[in-house]
Amino acid sequence: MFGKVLARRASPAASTLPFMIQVQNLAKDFDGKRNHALVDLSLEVPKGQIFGLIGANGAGKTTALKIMATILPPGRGDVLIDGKSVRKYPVQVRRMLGYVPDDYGLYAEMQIDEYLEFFAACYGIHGKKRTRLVNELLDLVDLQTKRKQLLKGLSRGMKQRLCLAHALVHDPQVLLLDEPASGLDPRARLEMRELLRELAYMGKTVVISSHALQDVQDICDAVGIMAHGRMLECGSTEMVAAKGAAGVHLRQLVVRVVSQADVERTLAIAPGFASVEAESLKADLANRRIQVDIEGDETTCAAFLSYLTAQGVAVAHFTQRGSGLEELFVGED
Amino acid sequence: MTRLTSINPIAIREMRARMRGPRAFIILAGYLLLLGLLIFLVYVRSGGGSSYSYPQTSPAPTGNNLGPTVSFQIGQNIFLGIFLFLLLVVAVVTPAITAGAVSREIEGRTHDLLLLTPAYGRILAFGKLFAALAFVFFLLMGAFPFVCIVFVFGGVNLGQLLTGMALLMLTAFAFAVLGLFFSALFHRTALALIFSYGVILALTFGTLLVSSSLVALINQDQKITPPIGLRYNANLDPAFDVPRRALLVNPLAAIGSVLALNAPYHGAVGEDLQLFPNSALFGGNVTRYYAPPNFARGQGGAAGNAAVLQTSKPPLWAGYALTYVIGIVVFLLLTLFVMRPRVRPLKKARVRKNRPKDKSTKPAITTP
Repeated sequence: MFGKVLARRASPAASTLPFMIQVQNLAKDFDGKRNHALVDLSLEVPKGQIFGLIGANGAGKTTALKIMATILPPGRGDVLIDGKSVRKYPVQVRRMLGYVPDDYGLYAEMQIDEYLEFFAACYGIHGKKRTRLVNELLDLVDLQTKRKQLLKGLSRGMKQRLCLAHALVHDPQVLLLDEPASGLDPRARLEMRELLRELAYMGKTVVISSHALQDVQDICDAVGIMAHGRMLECGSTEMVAAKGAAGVHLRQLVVRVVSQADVERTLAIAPGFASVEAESLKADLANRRIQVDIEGDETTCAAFLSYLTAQGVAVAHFTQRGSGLEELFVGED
Repeated sequence: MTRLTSINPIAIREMRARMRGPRAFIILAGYLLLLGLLIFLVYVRSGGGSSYSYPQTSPAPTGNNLGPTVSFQIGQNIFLGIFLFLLLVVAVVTPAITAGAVSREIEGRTHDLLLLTPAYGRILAFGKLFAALAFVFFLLMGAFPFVCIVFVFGGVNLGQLLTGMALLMLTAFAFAVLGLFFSALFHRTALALIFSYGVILALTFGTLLVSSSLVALINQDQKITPPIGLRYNANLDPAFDVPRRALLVNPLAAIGSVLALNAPYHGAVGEDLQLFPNSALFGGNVTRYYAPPNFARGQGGAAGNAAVLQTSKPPLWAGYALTYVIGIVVFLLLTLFVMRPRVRPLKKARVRKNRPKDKSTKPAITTP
């Protein structure tokens, strides 16, 4: 869907540096030195990669993104964007960046196309080129039919898409997106994922911060898990997720059984199963749903389900709550 | 419009936003209604219904100097009424617009987005300034047909009217720059507004207080009693030069000096300072101001009056204009300095001190 539009806008200049973003021992304090927002944060993101920053509120994700975007000055350490320091060359770095803040502001009294034209003009794009660009971007984010709508009447999803279009106005090499999927409905979330994948395919380096772990796991090539301003885990998504899964001992299994009698029988047999604590068995009798916390790894889960089946409980459906990333996210917070 | 947007997108966006919807037209209608009402009141208070051509003056006019006609005085009163009203509008509206120029972007969370564009800095500052001035000038131009009413009555010529308009525009420019500077400095609308209005009050009433106090001191000091009764000319009365200079930045005195070249005027020992000496309605002493000078150069009558006007120092508004132009340039440069696009750099020494000595001990986590 987006390939055709973006293909015309792909950056011709290819960087020879292996990493598009290098964060070097970054630290940032607020309120004097009482609040350590970032502590010795380091990471490197190769060109064309989608990198996800995961962390609870206050973990330092937004601060890190703002420093990368040259909005906040680094306390200690440095960030290099395509080899240029945000400390020494903030103005040059800004030309390479597209930034979508979490708490984005819009000029409520403007129309959608006026908004994009305004930012295009701010980046020195004028005349027919600007008109063509705005049309392309509106096509890209699927807002062409609403181009004359005032911004104050837009839904959150449309605002997110408009902000992304605004960040792409000057065809930046790096996109920094703070919570791009927050508040979006499932369809909009899916479209956003597709769009980000296309952007990465076109060679743009994307850094996103998100609480939506499933989105991060699905679209990011690499992730970093942050807590209290520190990078706890960083690496390819598969590697970090596997690490999270391997270290987890407590798993939550939700089992849906067929009949009421089965539920009672299950409750009856539960104490006999060595790996399940009696108090961790919770039965929702109305929905015939059992929520079980199991101490152990995936083999233990499999054994538990086999045991249920062996006991004659007809299991209609079961799910395991939490991925490896989720376990890491929750566990490290 | 596309071409204009190419020159300064910020200005176009601001102007569009301000004029979109009925608000701007409601403001304009209300403002013109008030102005019309004010003109009517001034007309009535100036004796618009009088059947006499000349007002009663004391001492009685002598020779061929009959003093100003009633119509002449009505024209001057209306002129002063309109221009003082417009000055009030300029003083209130201009900082209200520009004091939020930068801070409202921050409060609206659009500042960061602008910061990343090449438009941040000069284009932003000039765009905000241009848009604010465009709106204020739009209000001033809207009043122009009302201003032209003075020609029906006389007492004001075209040059004086244009001078008054130019002074108002210059004042608007200065107040706009002042508001923009405080907005860029404090990044908070309320604080910028307080400081802007504070400075404007100091310029308008603070200088007046200083000047009046100096006049009172001079009057009390018996040693500096002028050799002659009337003291309205700084050439003839050097003692009055200091209080006069204190009013060089006062917009009220500047407007007053457009019609009365010798304003601010200090009629005689014991008299108060008069900003509008040619208008009884605005606290002046017309009888004294237009009285034939019987002390200077041995000339009397209308010829003597004209001689006094010609030998005066340059009118106060000329010095006011020069001072404000200098002020505008200085504050504009300061604003551009404050708004320059940058990330606040830390001192190098501090950075070196806190940087880890041996990087190998803390390897960067690298994504594969």
